[in-house]
Amino acid sequence: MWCGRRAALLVGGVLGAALACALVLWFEARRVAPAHAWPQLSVGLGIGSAAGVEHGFFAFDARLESWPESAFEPLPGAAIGASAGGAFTLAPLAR
Amino acid sequence: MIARTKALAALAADNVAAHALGYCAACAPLFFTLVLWVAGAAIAEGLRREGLQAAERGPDILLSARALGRHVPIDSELALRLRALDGVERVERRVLGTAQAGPTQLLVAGVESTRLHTAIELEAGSMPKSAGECIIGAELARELGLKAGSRLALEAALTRVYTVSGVLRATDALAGAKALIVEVEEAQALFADARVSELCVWTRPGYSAAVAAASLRALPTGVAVTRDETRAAVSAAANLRSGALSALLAPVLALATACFCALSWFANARRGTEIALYKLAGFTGGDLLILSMIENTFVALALGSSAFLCAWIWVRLFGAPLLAPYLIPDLGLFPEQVIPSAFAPLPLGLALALAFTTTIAGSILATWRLSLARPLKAFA
Repeated sequence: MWCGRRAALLVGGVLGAALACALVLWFEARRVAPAHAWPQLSVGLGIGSAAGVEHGFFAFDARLESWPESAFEPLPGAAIGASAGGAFTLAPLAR
Repeated sequence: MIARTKALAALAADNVAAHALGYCAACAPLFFTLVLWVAGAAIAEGLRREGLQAAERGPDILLSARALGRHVPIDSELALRLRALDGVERVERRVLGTAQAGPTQLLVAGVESTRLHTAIELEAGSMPKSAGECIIGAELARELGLKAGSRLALEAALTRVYTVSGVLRATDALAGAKALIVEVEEAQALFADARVSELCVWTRPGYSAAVAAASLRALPTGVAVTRDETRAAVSAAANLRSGALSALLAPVLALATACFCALSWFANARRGTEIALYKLAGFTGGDLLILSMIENTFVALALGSSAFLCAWIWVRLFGAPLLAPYLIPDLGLFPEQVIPSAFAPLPLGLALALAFTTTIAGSILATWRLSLARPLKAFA
């Protein structure tokens, strides 16, 4: 039925490519992501760190951050853990 | 009807096969654009998945401080106070900073010693056993030519010499690819600063991380980021990355479409003769349009699927050379690190759809106009 050998080759090639794509998708669906030594490390290195969140980028953002020493004000210790009247308390968490 | 369509499909296959080189030339710009787009979309999706995985296994809350609109170090003692509070299961300190190793600036990550001494699978070497030892990312090891046992002088507030005890695997988290990891105390000594960059807080079961974060935000200069916010930020970053790539490639795609139309035009005279012959053989205008559509379907299937396969080979087998540094800052042109990527059915479907619409747009109008012309005109 096919007009010629070239046409059969073309159809075979197209079907072969489609089959290869299906195989790739099957392989990808079954593929297990490589286990990371420390998945949490990524968070610490910028994925989810405050800097990373703010920049909207995920890797190596910490390098872009500079910490102006003169701008630093120590956190007031009195506010920490002061359950009565302090600025910080986890009392509202209790269910 | 089915027999007619089969005959038209056979004829279309023969036509495409007969002019395969011409189709290859016309489709080449589109092919390269699609390969770039599919590869970029796969890397953006891989980064999203890796980011979400990290957020899932990371802390419930990340606490940092801010002054003058910028992030500043936080008091290390705060970790002790937080640990004593109800609702807090665990608090880990982290130091993130940059140091010089000769001309190379690298990222120094200080993590809790318990985390650093937990045995993990490394590419080479072992976990640090003393304060003067560190582990490094695979990309950093390649750049600086380091291996387990090498010595490295780091310059920050002080100059300290470390021994590389181990190298992370190339398949490990991308964020650690160019990092040097030491204990928190060691990083503090290196930077001559007793503070930390941030605190990672895990809340006890039964306590809401969102409520805890709201409480922590009441601290002066306190910035608390919950896991949900991290997930949202990771997704937003991935969308931004793939969106930027798509926006960049959109004009290239338009140019490729125009290129396909222009190159198709050169075959117009030959096509006119073919169509005239078909009409003399009794083909209707509808038959000719169906024939053209089937031809374009063959071309689009070959184009879209081969672009997808090439993108997969480029990213998975060769590690996305040349493209990776565009999407991930600081990576070299030929990165050692395995680039996270995920090939989903959607990019394949979109590649096929783009290939089909482009090829059909480039040929259907010409076919229709030629099908209206008198057959004898083509032989004049």
